[in-house]
Amino acid sequence: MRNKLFISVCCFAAILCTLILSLLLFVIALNGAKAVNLRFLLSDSRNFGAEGGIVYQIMGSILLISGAAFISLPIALGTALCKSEYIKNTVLQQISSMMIYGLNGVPSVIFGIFGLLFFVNFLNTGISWFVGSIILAVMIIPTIVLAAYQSMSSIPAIYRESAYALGMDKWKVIAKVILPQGIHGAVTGLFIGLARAIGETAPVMFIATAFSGAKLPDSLFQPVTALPTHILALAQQATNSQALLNAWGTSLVLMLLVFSLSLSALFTRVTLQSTGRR
Amino acid sequence: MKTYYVYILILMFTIITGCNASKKETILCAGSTTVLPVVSDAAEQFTLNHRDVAVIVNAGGSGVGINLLGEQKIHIGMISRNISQEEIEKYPDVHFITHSIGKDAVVPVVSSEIYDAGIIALTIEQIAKIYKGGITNWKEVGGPDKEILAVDKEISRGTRHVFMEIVLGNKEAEAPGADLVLGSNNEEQVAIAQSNAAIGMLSHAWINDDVKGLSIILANGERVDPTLQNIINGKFPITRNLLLITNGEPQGKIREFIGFIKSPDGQKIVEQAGYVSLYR
Repeated sequence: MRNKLFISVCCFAAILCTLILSLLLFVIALNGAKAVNLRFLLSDSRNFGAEGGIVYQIMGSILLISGAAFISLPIALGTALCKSEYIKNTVLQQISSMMIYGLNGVPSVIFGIFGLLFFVNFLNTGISWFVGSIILAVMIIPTIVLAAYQSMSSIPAIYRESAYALGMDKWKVIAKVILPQGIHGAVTGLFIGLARAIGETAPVMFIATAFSGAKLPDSLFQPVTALPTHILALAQQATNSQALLNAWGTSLVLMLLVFSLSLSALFTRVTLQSTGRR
Repeated sequence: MKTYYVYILILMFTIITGCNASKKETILCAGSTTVLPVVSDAAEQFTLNHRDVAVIVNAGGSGVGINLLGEQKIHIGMISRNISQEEIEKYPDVHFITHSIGKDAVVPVVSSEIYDAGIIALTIEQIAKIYKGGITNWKEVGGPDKEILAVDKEISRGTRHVFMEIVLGNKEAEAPGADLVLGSNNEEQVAIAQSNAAIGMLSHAWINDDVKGLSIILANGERVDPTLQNIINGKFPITRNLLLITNGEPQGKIREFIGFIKSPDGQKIVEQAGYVSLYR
């Protein structure tokens, strides 16, 4: 009897969870589909986003996360390698794990305000997409480190032992055994991190994006416009029905981008894992 | 592994250089959300004829506009109040020059439900009492029996400075009766439209069917409606200039851009945005 009750409560929770997700997706797809067409995707926004499209917002968002990927991947891989290959002391190991989990737990708006104070004001960079990329990179590093570390530490000990037995030095072992076996974790973590980063509003709204007029930057130190901040700006004009419609459309595009990043994560995990094992 | 890096590099390279082969001059503007629609619209039109210029516009409020210009992070500040003496002293290296681009009124606004229930005009004293917390129910001013949701604005906002200077006699007066403090005109407009018992302050250009502008009853009993005509002839008591500020006399493209906003074409944008042009 008690067992049955437990199962039904669990099932109810699972169904509720799926229902909320499907409802959300359904509403966004239904409303967004009315706004999204080729012209919407390929034209510049006009009249504060109420008219025109979101081409520069899409490009700005992609630029921001590309920069973040470029900065975060080497740092995160290095951290994961250091954790799995060099730190043998358990106390140090625990401290480093705690730091990484701690970094993961920092609310994103804190990163935004830090970026504003440190980069924009103290280093006087001005509002810049590159600073946005740096902050997003810092934000997603823990995700990548944890995923990479997990895949590296799950490499069977016999692989390492065989490599050493063959006379390889540490560098060779890392380059030929650990990295190829561990890379799928890092890339999966990267895509999961980017899927989170592309939807973040708070870290970029102070430091990387402009309200209007920003197109493609010519240098590292210019603002861009991005999808989440565009949705914010449109939602603030909710009394204008055209702006609201475009907000739904922009949301749909953002959702699709997040999905494609998550799918990439799944895909690379499967393909890279199998090549790594070969 | 390497291929991922190459892909990412190629992607960034194409995005940055692909469409921007030529180096553009960039004009950075920031500040008041009251002035923002005019400048943003003008920027769209100006850049159509000046392909070598990019005008980037950001919000933040008048205070932010003055501070960013003071720190020389932007070229043009947008403000909808006057610069205070403290602000001028805070930035001794910066020579603030103001450029008037139009005129606006700050109008006390209410949710359409309250307007339809008969509250179409208030005296300055009544509004002051609402913001001080003396009046908390609409029935005390002849309306329906509903709690008043008094919406205030952030202290650095130009709209608030101008409004509070007239209503409470001090541009940075505290408003203990306020239930909600918001930022931009858009935020405040949406909040008042979504409530059914709110009062707030908005630039004249943000009044619409959901957010109704109140008439003001003057001390002599005359009722002044928040119409363009009354802003032009100066009858409406809470008016202000829409200003741009620069550090020293503007040069080059910045001068051309400000000139465009002051030109007849630019002033059309001012009127379309719901403000009074320089030529009226």
